[in-house]
Amino acid sequence: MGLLKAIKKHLTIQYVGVIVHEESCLIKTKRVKKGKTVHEEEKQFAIVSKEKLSGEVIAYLSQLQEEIEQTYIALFLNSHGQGVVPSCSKSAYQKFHIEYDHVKDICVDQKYSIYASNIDIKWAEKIFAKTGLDFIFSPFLMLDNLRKKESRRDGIVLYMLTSYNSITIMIFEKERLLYGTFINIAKEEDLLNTDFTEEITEEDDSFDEIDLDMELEESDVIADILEDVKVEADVKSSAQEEDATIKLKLFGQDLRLVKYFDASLREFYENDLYKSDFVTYVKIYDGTGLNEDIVTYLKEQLLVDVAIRKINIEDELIALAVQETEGA
Amino acid sequence: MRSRSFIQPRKKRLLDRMSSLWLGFIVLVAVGLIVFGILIHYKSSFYIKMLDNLHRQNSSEMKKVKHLQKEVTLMRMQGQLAQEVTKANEVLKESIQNMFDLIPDQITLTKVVMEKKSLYLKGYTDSKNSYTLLLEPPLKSIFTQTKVKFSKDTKGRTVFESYSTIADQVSLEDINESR
Amino acid sequence: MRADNKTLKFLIFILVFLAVVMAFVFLFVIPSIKEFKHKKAEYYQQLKAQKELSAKEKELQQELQKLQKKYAKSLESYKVPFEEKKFLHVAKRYFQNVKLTQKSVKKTESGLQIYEFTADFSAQTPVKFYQFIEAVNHMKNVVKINFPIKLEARNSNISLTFNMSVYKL
Repeated sequence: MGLLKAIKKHLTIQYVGVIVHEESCLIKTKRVKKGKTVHEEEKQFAIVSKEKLSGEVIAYLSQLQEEIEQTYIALFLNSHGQGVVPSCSKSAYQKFHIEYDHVKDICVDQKYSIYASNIDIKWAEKIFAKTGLDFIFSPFLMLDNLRKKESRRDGIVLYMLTSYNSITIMIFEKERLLYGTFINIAKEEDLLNTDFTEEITEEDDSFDEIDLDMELEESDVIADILEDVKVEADVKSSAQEEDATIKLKLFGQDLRLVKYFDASLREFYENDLYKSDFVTYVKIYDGTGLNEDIVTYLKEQLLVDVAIRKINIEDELIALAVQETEGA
Repeated sequence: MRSRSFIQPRKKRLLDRMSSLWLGFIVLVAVGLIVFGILIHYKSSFYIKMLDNLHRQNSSEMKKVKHLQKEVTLMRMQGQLAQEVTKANEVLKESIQNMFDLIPDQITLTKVVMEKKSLYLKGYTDSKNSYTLLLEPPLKSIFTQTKVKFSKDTKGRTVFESYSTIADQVSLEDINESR
Repeated sequence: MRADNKTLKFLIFILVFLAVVMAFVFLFVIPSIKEFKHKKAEYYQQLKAQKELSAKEKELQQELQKLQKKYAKSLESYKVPFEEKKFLHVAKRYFQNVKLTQKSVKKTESGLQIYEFTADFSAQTPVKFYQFIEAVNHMKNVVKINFPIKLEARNSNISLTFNMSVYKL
């Protein structure tokens, strides 16, 4: 096997990171030879639905694999049926009301476990049936990986990974995971804390209606229209503005992000299942280009230090794949 | 390190399809050639073994033939020898007969020494002439050289001593054979 | 770029293939075939030699038999032991005094032994001598009368002295 390894070192390894969204598919390719990157490529494809990869995508992936034998395709799992449990034991899953038999779990550092529903895994395998798939990575794994690159902080730290349409939150105390959640912020959920919402939209009544009752698309359209109106409104209520404790110019997805964030934090604090204490630091790994206002809001709302670092989800995905193949 | 992916990666081939096909093909051809070479070698070793046998057989046969050859030669020589002996004796007899026929009544021989290539005669003659006329000519005709010496014995008889020789190439036998 | 790479790879493979084939053919196949041809040729050569030898043997056997037949009598006479007494007995028919002295024994290349004798006979007339020689030729042994032959008149007899060779196996 020593000879095999020696030969392998001279071969080109191709890492393909795939992120599948509702209407598009992002594929990043990185070729490595003798530890050096020799080629990088990124392509975006339009797809009809998340249930099936388009012919274009399949052709592209097949072509990539034809060119290089040692190709590893990694998928970023962004389905909502996944999460973390602060323990690796089966009983913990029971405690947190998760059907152990319906999920696949991975124990990380012997401390906590990441899980994903079998349905989602099957979905992934199904859509990649024609091209093949090598890795399915959880966003929690990505966040944990990013977290490990930094120096450890004392106190309770909240890590958040933002990606297109989703946020991943993990709260750690030193090396111990206390809580984690993955939320798809593209849609509205019924389980929102309405009081909280009212607080935010204090300024303008119209926002109220929009946020609570409207469908995703509609609210986005109206949000766009309203943005144009926004300036006027600002001028109008400039007096009120000064009184307002919170200056909020968040619409659509941004707003949802904040709402979901608050909701999960609340869950963390209020749910007895989680050992919780006050969060002292927030670190955001931003893969989407967050609105500054969100950061400002979080700072002012939570009264904590919020650090933000821009990352590239595709690059991090490929890094995970590289780790998997080099470790093995 | 335990896997941190929800699925296991597929097994990767070391070489791409084309390379492995080529490699397989080349190896196959090489093996084929080796096998072919070995088969041929095997076939020739078959011949080598047979050759070995043959060599041995042939050498013993050769010995036999040589031996036979010798026997044949010997037998022929022996056979011919016997015949030659008989012939030689016959020729000898004739030569002696011829020689005695040569002697005229006037001459009486006392000693004859017959050699292969010479003839020594001693005897007495009533006269020198008798010898010279009667004996010498035939002697001369047979022999290449002949000399004679005359003397008188105690009884007053004319004694002659003749020595006749034949040149090397020809011998008495040959002459008598040709008669 | 990729197309070029593929073509290059393909070319390299073809070259390697040809090199391997050449190498194996020249290192293995051709020598093997040569050896095979050689050995086969040698074998058939030897086979031919065998045939020839066999024929030769047969021929010689026939020859031997022929000679055996032809020289049967002579060959037999070589086997007959030479008895001086018998010989002298025959000689006595023609001569008065008979004496035989063995001189030597030699060997011939024809595998025969030659017993050399000196004969000392005396007769009345030389005619007896011719008759004697005739008789010698009819003897069972192979006897050759050699030169020199000495005839000498002694008293009323002719003394005859000659050398004699008896050929025996």
